[in-house]
Amino acid sequence: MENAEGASQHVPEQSAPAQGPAQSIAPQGPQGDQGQLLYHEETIDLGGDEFESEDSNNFADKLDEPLMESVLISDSPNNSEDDAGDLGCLHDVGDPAEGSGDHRLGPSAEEGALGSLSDGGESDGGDTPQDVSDMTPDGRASLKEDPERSDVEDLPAFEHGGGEDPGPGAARVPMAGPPSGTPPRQPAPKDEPVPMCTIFSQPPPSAQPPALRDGFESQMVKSPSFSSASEAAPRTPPQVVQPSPSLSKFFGDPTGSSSLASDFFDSFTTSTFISVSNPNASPSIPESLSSLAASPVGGSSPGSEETASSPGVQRSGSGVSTVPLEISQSPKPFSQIQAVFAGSEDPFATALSMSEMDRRSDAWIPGDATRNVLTSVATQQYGTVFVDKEDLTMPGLKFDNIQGDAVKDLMLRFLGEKAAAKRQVLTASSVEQSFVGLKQLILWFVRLALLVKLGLFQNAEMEFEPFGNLDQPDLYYEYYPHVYPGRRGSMVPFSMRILHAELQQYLGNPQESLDRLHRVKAVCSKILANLEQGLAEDGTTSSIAQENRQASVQLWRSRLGRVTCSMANCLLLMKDYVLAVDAYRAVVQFHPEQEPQVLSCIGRIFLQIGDIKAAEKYFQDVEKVTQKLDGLQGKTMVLMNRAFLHLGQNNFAEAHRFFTEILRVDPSNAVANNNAAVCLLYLGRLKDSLRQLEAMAQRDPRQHLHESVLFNLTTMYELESSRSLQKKQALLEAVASTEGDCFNTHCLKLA
Amino acid sequence: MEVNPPKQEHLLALKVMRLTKPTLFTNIPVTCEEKDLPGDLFNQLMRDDPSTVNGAEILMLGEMLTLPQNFGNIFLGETFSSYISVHNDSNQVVKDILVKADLQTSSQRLNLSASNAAVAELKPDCCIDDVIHHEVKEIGTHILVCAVSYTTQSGEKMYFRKFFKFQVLKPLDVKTKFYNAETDEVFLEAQIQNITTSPMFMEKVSLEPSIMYNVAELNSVNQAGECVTTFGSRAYLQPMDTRQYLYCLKPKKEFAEKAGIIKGVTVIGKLDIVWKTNLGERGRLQTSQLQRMAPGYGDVRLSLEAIPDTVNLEEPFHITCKITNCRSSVSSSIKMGLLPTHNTHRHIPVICSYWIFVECNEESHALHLNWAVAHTEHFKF
Repeated sequence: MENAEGASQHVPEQSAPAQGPAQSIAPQGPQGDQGQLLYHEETIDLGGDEFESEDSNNFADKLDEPLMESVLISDSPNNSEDDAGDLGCLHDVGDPAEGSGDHRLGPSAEEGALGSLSDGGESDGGDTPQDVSDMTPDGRASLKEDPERSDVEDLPAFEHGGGEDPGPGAARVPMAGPPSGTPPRQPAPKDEPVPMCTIFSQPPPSAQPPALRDGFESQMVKSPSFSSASEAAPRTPPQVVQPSPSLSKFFGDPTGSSSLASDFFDSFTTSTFISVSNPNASPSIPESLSSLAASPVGGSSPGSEETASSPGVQRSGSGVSTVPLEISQSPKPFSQIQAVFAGSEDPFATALSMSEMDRRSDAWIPGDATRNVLTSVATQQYGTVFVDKEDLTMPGLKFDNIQGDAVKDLMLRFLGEKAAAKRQVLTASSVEQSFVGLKQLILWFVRLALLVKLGLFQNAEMEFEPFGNLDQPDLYYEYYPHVYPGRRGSMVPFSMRILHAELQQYLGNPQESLDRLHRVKAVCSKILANLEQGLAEDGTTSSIAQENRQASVQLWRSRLGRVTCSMANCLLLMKDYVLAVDAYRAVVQFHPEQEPQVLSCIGRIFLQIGDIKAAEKYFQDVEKVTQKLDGLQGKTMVLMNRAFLHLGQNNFAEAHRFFTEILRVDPSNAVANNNAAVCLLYLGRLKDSLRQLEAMAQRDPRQHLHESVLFNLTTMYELESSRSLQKKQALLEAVASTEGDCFNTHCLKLA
Repeated sequence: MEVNPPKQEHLLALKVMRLTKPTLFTNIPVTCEEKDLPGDLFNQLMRDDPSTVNGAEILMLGEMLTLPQNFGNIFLGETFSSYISVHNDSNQVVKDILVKADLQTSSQRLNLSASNAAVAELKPDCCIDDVIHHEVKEIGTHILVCAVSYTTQSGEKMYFRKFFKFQVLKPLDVKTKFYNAETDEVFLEAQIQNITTSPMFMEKVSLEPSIMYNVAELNSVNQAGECVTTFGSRAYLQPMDTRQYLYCLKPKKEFAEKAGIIKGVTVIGKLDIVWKTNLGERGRLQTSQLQRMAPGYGDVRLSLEAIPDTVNLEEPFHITCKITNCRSSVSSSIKMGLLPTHNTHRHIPVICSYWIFVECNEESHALHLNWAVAHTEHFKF
């Protein structure tokens, strides 16, 4: 019985007397090494010592294979068939292993404590209190016998090596085993903040198909992010955040239709408009290419797509080469743009005059540098205003046909071409070529927002890059006094600022997100303060009618609420739960109507941390608040919270009861249905769980084939049988008819 | 038991899935204002998404539960739960199915199956379900051994096993420090570090004292009648965070008075720690018995029970000392006095510290010293 534990248990006994005399006089002195020593001695392995015969080594080797790779273990030849093959041998070996386990158990049981432990293990139903009562008396009982002996002999199995340090020097209490217990291959941590099946998991950027070349190719070259752009650009006016024909690429047709996107845009904008706002169109291509070849970065082939892949490097090169060109010419957008808009029938032009509402919602407080530029522009000393090109915004499309259709790809693979042909995704041709179609898709904000919705965060970031921190002078109306006479404020929609800030957290930089959100919040607060002091939003003195001021305060308060909520979300992603909860509580101030939802959310956060009591407190607050409201929503919320609380208390049966209760009052509640099904699985009722999910999915696929539901379904299919593939393919077919191209195919676990 | 020919298709399939707590689905809110070009489109899209919170779609944390997606980590003191499903993949009825789940640790083998009775028959496309639970009490390699035996229609007895190996890791790192007060009190400082990768809510950290001591936990303060924890609003430990707990141990009267009992290595007690993680996943550990070396006092122990900080010149003052004979033999003579901490040759020292010296051996008793100090302004210990 000379196993590792035995040895380590003896250590304190030996070392304690040794220290005794030395410390009777001066009980200081470093003792850390004793703890260390203990720590290393406790090695537990299932290797040689355990299995003494030759054959057993084979067995041990076998065990070293990582058999449990994921939650669900599929029939890999490694652990099923092969095992069956060696079965005879394995079985023989297995039994000695068992024998040796028992053998060791015997003597240790004599010591008392280990015996109690194994008792606990066998009778154990996850009920620890009982288990502890087993242990405590043990410790005490032995103490009564003889204090000299008790400290060594009766340590429960996981308590081995309990040597404690008498002096004030810090010592490790080896509550657990050795660091050697670290597995050779660590399973992924289970506490990822976001489930894998969300769109957080991004497709690798390399998966993007190469951009199609068409008339707007040059624009990709000329964006300020790329060196070549700065060389060709000085002769051309800077771009304005205006509907740009290059947006047509957004409709990127995967099949590579021959029609140029510009044809489409021509149908609703004038040609002069294009030539100005997208001056980099075809004529300048040759130029830009030649300058590219001559640039210090050099080496890059004329293929503009290649330069697009490494903007950072290219940009640093550009700083050097472009300086002389820029001094001579500052961008001169004014007269040209004015010419374009004069007499234009463009729908945007009609909206240009500054209205009360515009002032209210476009208000923004520029940074100091930007303010100086804007002031110079306002004082009309155009000739003296030199704006560094780097300070201007030159957005451009970085990608064409960025995503393809993942659902269709899977269908081709598993269901054949015929089925795949039925798959319809909106493409350029299916978008209404009218002002309505334009309205839905045209602005940059929309494109970027959609990129985020699609989970193409890196793409969105690259296209956001030219906008800088959304504070460049040319993003303000004041920069274009001729085009927007008298109009003030930022052209950047507020929601775009939020999006710009939030994007970083999806790219793994939540701190940057938080910084940006704080900046937005600071401006919102400043604007509100200005309004309260009787000034205009931007701090100028102007007379605003009382009701307009009221409306403005209301708008900016709701914006402050929006940004606070974003901060809370971001803090939650950062797992800074204390600050997240504080931020969510602040949200209630701005959106009192959302109080029950926000309080429930805080309760769920506490559940996630494991603080069940705090969760319960918040859920009780929700019940108080919802008493005032009657109706389905409040009732559902209360029942949902109760169910979650039972979940937190490990009571899946009760949780299931409450989720089912919700379904009684609201049979179409997709969340309650899914959650009830999940509970059933934990209760050991796999088939029932599947039936519940499938029934709901068939009744209303649009509502119930959510990716989280699909993920649960496929997980259970895998658990149910080795023939899960067929069922997954059936799901794919169902999904194909309802889901758009932002559908995350990972949740089907087909690939 | 007969040996099956290799690569034979089994009629039954065994699947195992670890049941960690489900997680809540997180969505990505993208919103815009009514005045923006998309109008209400984005907001409508979010309202239609069942995973968002009805009425407050901007909240990231939804209510939709998703099943665990990987095996994750398992830590000492947590409960290992697994779903074991045996499914009849064939088109024939299978008889006498016996499913056995054992957990092999480095020291023992435990049977985890809920029942050891054989199932009489299993129809095609039906399954036998079992959810097993086990509180993990050992660190290191664990192997879940699932064995299935059954009889085919033709009467052939079949048997197969699968092994699932996982590592149990250490969740906490505990360091302790003892401080011996002048009185018999012992202060224990315990630093508990979360060495897992997820936040951990410390539900309970208590010291179970050994029979010799009473314990007072010094981890909360009384604020306006309410007991408030000293850890503030942060009730949880982030990965790698350390929290320090403080306990005061007083020897029970019967042990305190008897000289010589609290001497050498003594057992103080053990820490009992209960924590919770995602959705109430619970873990519990106890440390081994914490031991400390009681300070050695030699033959005689002198402790000061009461002494003034400063005294005025030429005024009598009281010092209460306690002298304990720590030797087993009785000795009778006691000699006591005060010595200046350093020899001063000045005639009128202004401020002076003194050592109390004792030479004696006697049963423990208190002395009331009554000295007047002449020629000194202050008398300081």
